[in-house]
Amino acid sequence: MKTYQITGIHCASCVAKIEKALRGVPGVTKADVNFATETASVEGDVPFEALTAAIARVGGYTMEQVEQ
Amino acid sequence: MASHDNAAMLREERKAAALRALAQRLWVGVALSIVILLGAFPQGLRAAGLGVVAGALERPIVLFLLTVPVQFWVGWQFYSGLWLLVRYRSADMNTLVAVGTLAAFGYSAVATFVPSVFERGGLAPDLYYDTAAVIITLILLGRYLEARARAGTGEAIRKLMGLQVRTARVRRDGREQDVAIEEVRIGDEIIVRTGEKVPTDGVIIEGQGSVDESMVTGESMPVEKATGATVVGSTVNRSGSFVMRATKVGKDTVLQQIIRLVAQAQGSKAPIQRLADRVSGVFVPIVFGIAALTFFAWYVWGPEPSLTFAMLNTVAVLIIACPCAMGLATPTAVMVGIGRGAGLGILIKDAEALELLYKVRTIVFDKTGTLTQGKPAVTDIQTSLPLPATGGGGVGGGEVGWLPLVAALASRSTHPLSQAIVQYVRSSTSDTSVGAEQFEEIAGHGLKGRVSGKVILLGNAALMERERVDVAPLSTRAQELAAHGKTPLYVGLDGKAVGIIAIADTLKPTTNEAIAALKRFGIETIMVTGDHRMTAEAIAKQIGMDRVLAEVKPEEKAAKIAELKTGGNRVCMVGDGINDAPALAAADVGIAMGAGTDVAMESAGITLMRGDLRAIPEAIRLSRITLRVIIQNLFWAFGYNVVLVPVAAGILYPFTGTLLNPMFAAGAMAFSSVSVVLNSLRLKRVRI
Repeated sequence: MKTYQITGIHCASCVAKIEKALRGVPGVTKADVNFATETASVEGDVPFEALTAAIARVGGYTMEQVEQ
Repeated sequence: MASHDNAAMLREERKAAALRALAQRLWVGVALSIVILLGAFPQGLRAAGLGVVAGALERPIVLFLLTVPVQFWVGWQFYSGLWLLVRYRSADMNTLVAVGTLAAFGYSAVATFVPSVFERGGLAPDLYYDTAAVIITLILLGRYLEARARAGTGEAIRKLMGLQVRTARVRRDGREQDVAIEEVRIGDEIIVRTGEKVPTDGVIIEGQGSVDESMVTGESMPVEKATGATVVGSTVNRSGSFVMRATKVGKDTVLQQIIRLVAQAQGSKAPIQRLADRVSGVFVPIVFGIAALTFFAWYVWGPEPSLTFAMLNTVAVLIIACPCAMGLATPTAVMVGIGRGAGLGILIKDAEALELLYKVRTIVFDKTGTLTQGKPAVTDIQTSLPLPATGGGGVGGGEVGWLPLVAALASRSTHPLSQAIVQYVRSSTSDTSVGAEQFEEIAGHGLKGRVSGKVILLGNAALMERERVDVAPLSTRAQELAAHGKTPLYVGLDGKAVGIIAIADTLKPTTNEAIAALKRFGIETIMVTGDHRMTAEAIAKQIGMDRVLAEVKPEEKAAKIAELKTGGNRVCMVGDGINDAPALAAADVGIAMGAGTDVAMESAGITLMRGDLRAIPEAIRLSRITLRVIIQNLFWAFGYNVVLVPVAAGILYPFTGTLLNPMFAAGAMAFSSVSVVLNSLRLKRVRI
């Protein structure tokens, strides 16, 4: 599982939208977005670019990976 | 580790900078909004001698010019929502605010520049600049306060990060030097003096200290540590001084593991949140529908001026409907709750474990190492007859004459029972200098040897029989001890049975208190052990356990847990996290007792950093209180949206004439999200 810090989340509907977008990326098995920490936890072997493209498409969000 | 820290610090800085920028815009918004609002009270201004200002504020163009910066600069962030609507046919809270305030602003702008549009329809060209400006300012104020409060929810992690030691005094080639923590390697010898922090995880190789581990385990009593003891980075050496060898550095240390774990747990999603997510996901489109309906209904059936009523009520609906508080209700409470747990030495792996724990009705405890110390200790000494004293001591003085002889024999063996005797004698007498000769260790029987010219035997009945020693006078007592869960060892001296040493794995001093607390919660307590039924029952009775599962092999524990779970009973398993891993995983919530310092959380939802069972009732209380806060939050957030949206739409108007002023809607909306965050922050201080 990888964790990403997301910028641009400002309300609960963003959370639902980003989750839906991430889950729609082929290869993603699990995606959870947390509003309090503004992070996304994503499971699945998916290139970073595919994820960023997906969330940019639904509302111009950006993200970076959090080093574990 | 360093880069991990830096990235986190960078993010913090960026957040702080964003907050400062937000504050700037907010203050401009507040100032302009106040001036715009003053325009509604020209008499007041004149009375205060500000006739010029009042005159200026009566001119629509002035109000327009004052509102433009608020609408487009202060409220700039809301336009991303408009872009979203145009570009992606999607909407969020920003869309609601942008559309709502633009409606009020646009209406007023038309009234300012082409009032004929309204006059032709027989309407007064009213201005609602104050509505637009106040909504933007209040919502921004809400976001600002919320962001500041939210920063408080991340305090636990910042505190943990602050524990990290920056330098270590390392002894290399016989020289002491201060080196940066990143430079410390495994195997380095580090000097820790009184009052200093232990820089990284390691083992003491010289000296001793009294170490305060409260930052990691939550246990406030300092722990005495001597050569061979493990120490954890970031704990404080209160007195004494020692040299330690580093065994773990960087991201492998206990502290860094805890930080990662807490950060990950705080970002996890509680099952209870899924409902809120589902609702808020469809909320915005539904609100747009209601807003459109409101506008249509008021325009067609509403009283005159119907366009004004339609506009204002639509704006109120758009503003009141933001699902912001709903989105914050669960994650902020989870974040603060998990952070609070970390401070108490209770590491919670994810929000699900936190949510499930309070529903647990049955707790199964592994006996050895969980309820008990996990290592045997001498509990009883029984002598059959008074013996002549050897050396200075005597029976009358409370010292058993043959004990040092037995200890001398036992010190030749590495068997745990022998070690327990040596440990006991060392702590109660000073004389351990005698040596044993002709030492023999007979597997499954015991020990035999010659000490101070006497033949000493230590072992079970089988050994005594083999050596033709009659134990009949002592056997009743031996059976009695066995019935209490103890292991009786006969002592033979020159062919005679002279006494019994009973050894048992003793209970932790806090076990009884913890079990009593759980019973007060109405939780069923069960002990599971591989011990013989009689022994197990004796111990369980002593603790006050409700039930015993005796003679259970380690590999059967998971199946027993599954059995207990039938019928939807929520079961929690408490064990050591290593041998009990399958059982911990099988339970609804697994609680691993960290051996003081090890983070072994793979299979457990919760890890207790100290071996003290009283942390379990604490964890349950934390779970219960966190859940209560979440439910309060959801209730207010849902209630707020569900109740106030129809009010904003004007549903009460035909009955009571009540309408919701869009400015009050904005105030209520800001208040709701701030109050939800503040309610979650209560968890930081609530008594556990």
